[in-house]
Amino acid sequence: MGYLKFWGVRGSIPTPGPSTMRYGGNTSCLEIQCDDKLLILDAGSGLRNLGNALMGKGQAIQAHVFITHMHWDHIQGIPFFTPAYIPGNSITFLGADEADRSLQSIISGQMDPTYFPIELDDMGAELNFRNLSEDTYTINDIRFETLYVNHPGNALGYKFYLKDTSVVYISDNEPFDTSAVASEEMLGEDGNQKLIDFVKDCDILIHDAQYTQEEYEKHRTWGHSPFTFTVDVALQANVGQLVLFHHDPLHDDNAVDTILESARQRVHNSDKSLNIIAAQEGLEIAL
Amino acid sequence: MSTDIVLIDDNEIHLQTTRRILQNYGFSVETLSDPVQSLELLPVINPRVIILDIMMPGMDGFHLLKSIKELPQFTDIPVIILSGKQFSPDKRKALALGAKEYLTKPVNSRDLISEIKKHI
Repeated sequence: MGYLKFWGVRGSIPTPGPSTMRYGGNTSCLEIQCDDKLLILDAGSGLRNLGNALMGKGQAIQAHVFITHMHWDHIQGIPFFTPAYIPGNSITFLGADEADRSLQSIISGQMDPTYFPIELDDMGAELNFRNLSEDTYTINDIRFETLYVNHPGNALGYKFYLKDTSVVYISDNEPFDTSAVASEEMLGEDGNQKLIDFVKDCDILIHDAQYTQEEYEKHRTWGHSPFTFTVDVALQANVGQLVLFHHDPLHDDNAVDTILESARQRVHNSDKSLNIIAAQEGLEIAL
Repeated sequence: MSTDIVLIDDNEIHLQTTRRILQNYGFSVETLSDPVQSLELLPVINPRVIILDIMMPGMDGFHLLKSIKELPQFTDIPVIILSGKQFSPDKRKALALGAKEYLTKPVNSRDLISEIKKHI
């Protein structure tokens, strides 16, 4: 029926080099092929290699590119996405705009002549833009839900319903502070429960797991999760398979190995079961 | 008699708890959980202060804040953001769009009351 393939798994900035060879150094980009439909999740530097692979097929390309948010590591591959330069191809970008700036304006901004020699309007393919908020959609027969997640700016998580498989993709997300919930003195709420409800019973969860718990204590309000939170959410939500994602640029392959082992140990210490892997460039999951 | 405060948030428990506490301080309070619908209801309720969440289905709080400020009768209405998002870029954006203050959950109820009393 199709597959999900990782073309970029790194957070924040590309990290090429011998120490990241196994997991990969490109920033966020996933490919989903479902029947004849091409879905691309995020357009980080991994998008360049995906574009080259698509060009190798020698076919006209119709792609929907779902962007979680507009930080560089999620859009920096667009200027290097060769299919976008080919007349006859159709690329639709989907994501959340800002109150004072359109989706197209945000994406074209990084291709301002000051920063890049070719402007978005000069790309040869048909480019479309579709603004999303937190809602349920069916676009091109693809049913999906979105959720605002806890990251600076308007950031979305996606839940795709692909035939018999549900895939949730939340690249960047930080736990909410739930240290106080709805008392007379302190007004708060369990903001993480909404995330658990969104993820509930999905087959595959791809989620931010950038930090260890110790690292997270030094990086609060940076918009990312310790793997411990990610594992706990997956356990509470009865997820089928968890994919640890958005590896920290300071983490070499051995550090990612250690996080993966620790995440599996956390599950082992619970009374539940959960299959966990770490996202790796080139990894393909059958759908 | 006009309403003192409208709370807009998609979390019903938070809405009810906050309303009860604000009422205990003597304020009249209305709650709205649908941001899109709130654009139609706000002119009818005609509050003196709006307390607004950010992450809501259908329309995020930034878009709603901008839309509220574009309504002629609400150009100068005090809007206090009350969100779980604790990021400084979000605070700067909300203030640039016309919010008076950006408070993060969990918030001490005394701090919220103090901010409201600046405007009522």
